[in-house]
Amino acid sequence: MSISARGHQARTSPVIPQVLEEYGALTRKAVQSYLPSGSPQRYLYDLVADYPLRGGKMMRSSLCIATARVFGARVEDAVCTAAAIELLHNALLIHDDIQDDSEERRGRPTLHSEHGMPLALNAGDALSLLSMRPLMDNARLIGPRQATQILAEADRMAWESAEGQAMELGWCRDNCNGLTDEDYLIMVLKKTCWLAMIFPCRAGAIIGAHDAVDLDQFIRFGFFLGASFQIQDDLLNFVADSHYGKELHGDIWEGKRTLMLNHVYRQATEDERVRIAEILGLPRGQRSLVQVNWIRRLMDIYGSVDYASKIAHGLAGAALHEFHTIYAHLPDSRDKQFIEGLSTWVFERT
Amino acid sequence: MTKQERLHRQDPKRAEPIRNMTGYLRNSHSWGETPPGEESGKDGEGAKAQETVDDVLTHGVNLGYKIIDEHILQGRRVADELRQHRLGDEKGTGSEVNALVARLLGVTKDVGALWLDSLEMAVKSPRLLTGLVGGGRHPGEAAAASPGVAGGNLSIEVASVRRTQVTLNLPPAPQAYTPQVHALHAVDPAFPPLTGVSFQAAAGSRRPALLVEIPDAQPPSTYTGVVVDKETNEPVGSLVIRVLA
Repeated sequence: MSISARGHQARTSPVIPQVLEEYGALTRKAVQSYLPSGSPQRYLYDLVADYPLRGGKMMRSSLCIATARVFGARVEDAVCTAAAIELLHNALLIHDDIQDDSEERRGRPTLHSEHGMPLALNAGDALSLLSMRPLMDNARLIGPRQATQILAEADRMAWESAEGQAMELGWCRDNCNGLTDEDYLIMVLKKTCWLAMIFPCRAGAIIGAHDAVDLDQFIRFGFFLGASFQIQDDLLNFVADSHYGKELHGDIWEGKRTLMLNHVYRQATEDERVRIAEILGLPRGQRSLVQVNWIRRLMDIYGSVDYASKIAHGLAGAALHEFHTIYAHLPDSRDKQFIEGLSTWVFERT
Repeated sequence: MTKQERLHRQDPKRAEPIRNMTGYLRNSHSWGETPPGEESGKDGEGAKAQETVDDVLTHGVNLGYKIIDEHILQGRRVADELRQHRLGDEKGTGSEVNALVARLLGVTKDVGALWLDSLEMAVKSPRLLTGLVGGGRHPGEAAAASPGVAGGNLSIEVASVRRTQVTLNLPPAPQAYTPQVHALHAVDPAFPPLTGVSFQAAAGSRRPALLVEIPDAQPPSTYTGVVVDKETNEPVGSLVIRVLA
C-alpha cells in the first residue's frame, strides 16, 4: 500500500488548494501584522518571525475561516482567530522541535539548531504569548461575548494539547512499550486534534453560528479528521522528501510511539520485543542507522504500515460521516466543499 | 445437483445489523491484543491471516467512536461541574433576577395565543436593503431606486402561537445581493426543520421583510439557518430562531 498518494492527485478537489491559498494568504498577512519588531531584534523578534515566515499549509487557519463562512460569517470575522491559531501552532512547533531534538522543519534547520536551545525556547514562549493578542482583538471584531467564548475554547485546547504532548514525551522518557491503539488515539486526540481541527471548527462555528449549534459534534468530526491526518503524517515520515520538510524516519529516530511502532511491538516475537525496547531505551544520539532500519524493516514484515494506513482510512471515513451529520443541511458552497474535501486531502498531501 | 449436494454458506454470526453501537464498542480492543475475557494464545498466526481490510477499518472506527464519546462525556461532566460552581456563586445575587424573569414569562404566557413577535434583530447591512429593493439590478441602480432606505429598516413578521425570538445577523457586504434563507434546523436532528421562512418585499411597501411562520406543532428549540446570496448561494449571514416553550 502506498504511503504517499501522489498517484491520486486527480482525487483532490481543486477547491482545496484554492481555499488554502486564499485563506492562507489572508491569515499570513494578519500574522505578519502581529509580529513585533524592534529591539532585541536579533535575539528575539527575528526568531519569533522565523517559523511563521517559513510558510506552511495553513490548513488549521483555513478550516477555521471556512467553518465560520459555512455558517454565514464574513471572512474578516474569523481572520483574527485564524492568525491566533497559526501563531500558537508555530510556537508549539518550536517547542516540539526542542523536545524531540528535531533537525529540520519545513526544509530548513530547526530554530534551536540555528540559534541554540535557550533563545529558541524563549522565542517559542514569546510566540505563544503573541497568539493571545488576536484573540483579544476579537472583542472589537465580533463582540465581547463571542470573543470570551473563543478564549475559553482556546484555554481548553491549550490544556488538551499540553496533556497530549506530555503523554507522548512521557512514553518516550519512560520507554513505554506495548501501548494500545486506544492509548495512541487518546494521545493524538489531545496532542493533535484539538489544535489542528477541533478548535478551528468550534471557533469558526462560534463566529458563524453564535450559540446556536451543538459544539460537541465538532469534537467528533475534528477527532476523526485530525487522527487520520496525524497517522498519515506519521506515514509520510517514511517517505520524507524535500516537500515534506522532515527527516526520513525521524519518528523512529526520536522513539515516537506511533501507531506503526506500537503495532510492530505487539506483533513481534519476544526476542524482537526485547531488542525493540533496548533500541528505544537508548538516547536518540546513541541509536544507529542500522537499528532504525531494522525496526523499519520489521514494520514491513508485520504489516504495520498497511495496518496504520487502513486505520487512517477508516477514521477518514468516519470523519466524512460526521461531516454529513453536521453540514448536510447547510447550503452548498465552496467552503463546505473545502471542509468535506479535507478528509480525502489528508491522504493526498505531501 | 441434489438438495443435499448444494453448497451452503455458513450461517452468519449475526443476522441483523448491530444497532446498539455503545454495547458493540465496549468490545473493541487493540488489534494483536487479546480481547478482555478471551484466552490468549499465540495461534495468532491464523487470526492474523484473517485480518482483512474491513476488520482493521472497523476496529479503528469503533475504537475511535469509543474514545471520542468518552471524551465528550468527560467534557460535559467538567462543564456541568463548572456550571454548578458558578450557580452556587451567583445564588445570592441571581435569585431576584430569576424571580423577575419568571414573573415576566408568566405575564407573557397570559397575554394570548397568537404572537406576532420580533424580539431581537440585528441588521447591519444597508446594502442588503438596496439589494432587496433592487431585485438583482446593479448596486448603483438599486441605491438610486431606493435613496430613502436606511440601514436597519427591515421588517420582521412572525406568525407563531408561541413566543419566538428572531436573530438576524447580516454583516455588511461589499455589494448588493438578494438574500435567501434555506430551512432552519434544530440541534436535535429529530425535530422537523423550519421551512416557512423567507425574504420578501413587504406587502404594499418597497421595504423588505423577513417572514417567519412557525407551525403550531413545531417543537420548542433553537433553529439555525444560513442566509445566502440567491444568485451565488454563498453564505452572507445567519438566522437564528428560538421557539420558546
